[in-house]
Amino acid sequence: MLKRNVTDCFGPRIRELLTTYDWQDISEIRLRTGRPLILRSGAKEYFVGSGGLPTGGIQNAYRASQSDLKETVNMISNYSLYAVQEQLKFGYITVEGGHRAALGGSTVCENGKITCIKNISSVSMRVACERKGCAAEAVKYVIGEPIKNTLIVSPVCGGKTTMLRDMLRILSDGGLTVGISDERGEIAACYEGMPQLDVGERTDVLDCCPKAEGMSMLVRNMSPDIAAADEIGSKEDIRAMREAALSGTAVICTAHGTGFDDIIKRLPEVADFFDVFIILEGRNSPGKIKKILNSRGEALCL
Amino acid sequence: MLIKMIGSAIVLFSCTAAGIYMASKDKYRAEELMEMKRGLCMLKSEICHNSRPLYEAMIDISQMLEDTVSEIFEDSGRMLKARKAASASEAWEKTLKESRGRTFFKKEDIDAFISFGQALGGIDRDGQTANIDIALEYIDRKSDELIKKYAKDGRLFRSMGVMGGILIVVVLF
Repeated sequence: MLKRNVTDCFGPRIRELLTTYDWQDISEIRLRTGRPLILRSGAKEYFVGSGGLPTGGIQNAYRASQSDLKETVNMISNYSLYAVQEQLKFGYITVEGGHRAALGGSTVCENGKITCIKNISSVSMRVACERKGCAAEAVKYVIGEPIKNTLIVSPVCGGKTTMLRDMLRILSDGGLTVGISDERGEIAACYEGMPQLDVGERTDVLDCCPKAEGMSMLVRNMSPDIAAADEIGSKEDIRAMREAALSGTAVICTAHGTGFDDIIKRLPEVADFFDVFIILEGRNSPGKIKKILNSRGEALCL
Repeated sequence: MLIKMIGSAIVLFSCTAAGIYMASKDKYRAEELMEMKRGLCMLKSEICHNSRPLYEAMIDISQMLEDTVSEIFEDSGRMLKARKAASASEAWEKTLKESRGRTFFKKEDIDAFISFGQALGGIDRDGQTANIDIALEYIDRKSDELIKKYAKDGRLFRSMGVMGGILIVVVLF
């Protein structure tokens, strides 16, 4: 069954459709104006018929109307779009439970910067999943004296964040102080400041905080043993991670990428201070480890 | 004779009461408008400075308000929290219409608040503030009018109540 806080993000009609059938392991819900409602679980795709039951053919699938989209946007923002204005600039809203609703429509620009999205015509809901123990194997390569700076690399929907969260939980429960700079609110999924997902007993979270600034704030103020962030990519991020790593705090991060060569080509600086690279398989088998490498690209296992 | 006396007393009393009620109606309406103004001012600061979702803000504000206005805020907040409405404006309009019989608001007040509700929950924070300001302006204008009107008509209604009562008693006796 889909979780209550997932279905609550949709308008009444869609909510009814989604709660009729006992869906299992859904990782994504896609809603587009005039197009069929699609649920995804890993690489599998399901269409929802207008009775709420799974249907084989795309022609029988329920097609979302414009008002479905409007209502859904209202629900996602708790009827208060002004409160999520900042997040809308980046095209997504994190909702209660840590699920992420990405929005598509026409963007509004001011001075070359996106200020918001209007006429929202597609919503892609990523269901936050918590798999306790999924990082039990990988974490062995991170633990050491000192703790290794680790980068988890995977293509989209590969289970990066899930693995990072579980890794932090294991380390934190194991006695280390962990600080998370959770820019997109996906790691700890804070709601009203409180982590909704289990990130460990000794974990401090800076929610919705720009990664780079959050990282230096954490290192300076909270004195963590481990500082963590999700999806690093910009020069600014790399600089902040390097600073944290050099100041003696272990850094664990995730990044988009298909493999070691790919990530080194895009962000050559990461080889300087990350010791362990965990490469994941990707969308077809989320959470599965492909390779674990050191900073020279040599395999540590598998 | 005794029954006649009692009857006239009742007539006199109820006419006076009706006069006082007629006179005070405007006063009560002005008081409710002021209460609404307080609520909207709080909502404005919740939206601008705290960026809180509407339902949280509304439920909290309702605890600081009194009477029907408090109920309006609380009911719309709860309706939004339970996700029973398609939009914020729908919830606001519905509660306002439901509260119609319990308030001293006139149709024009309710209409002004409903049109204020149309933009509630929109994307633009400045727009939200401007929208609340328009509603506040309306309230200020109306309560000024009402206060003036009460000063002028209040005594008239009260004395008309008493006089009317006496007239009826005299005629019927």
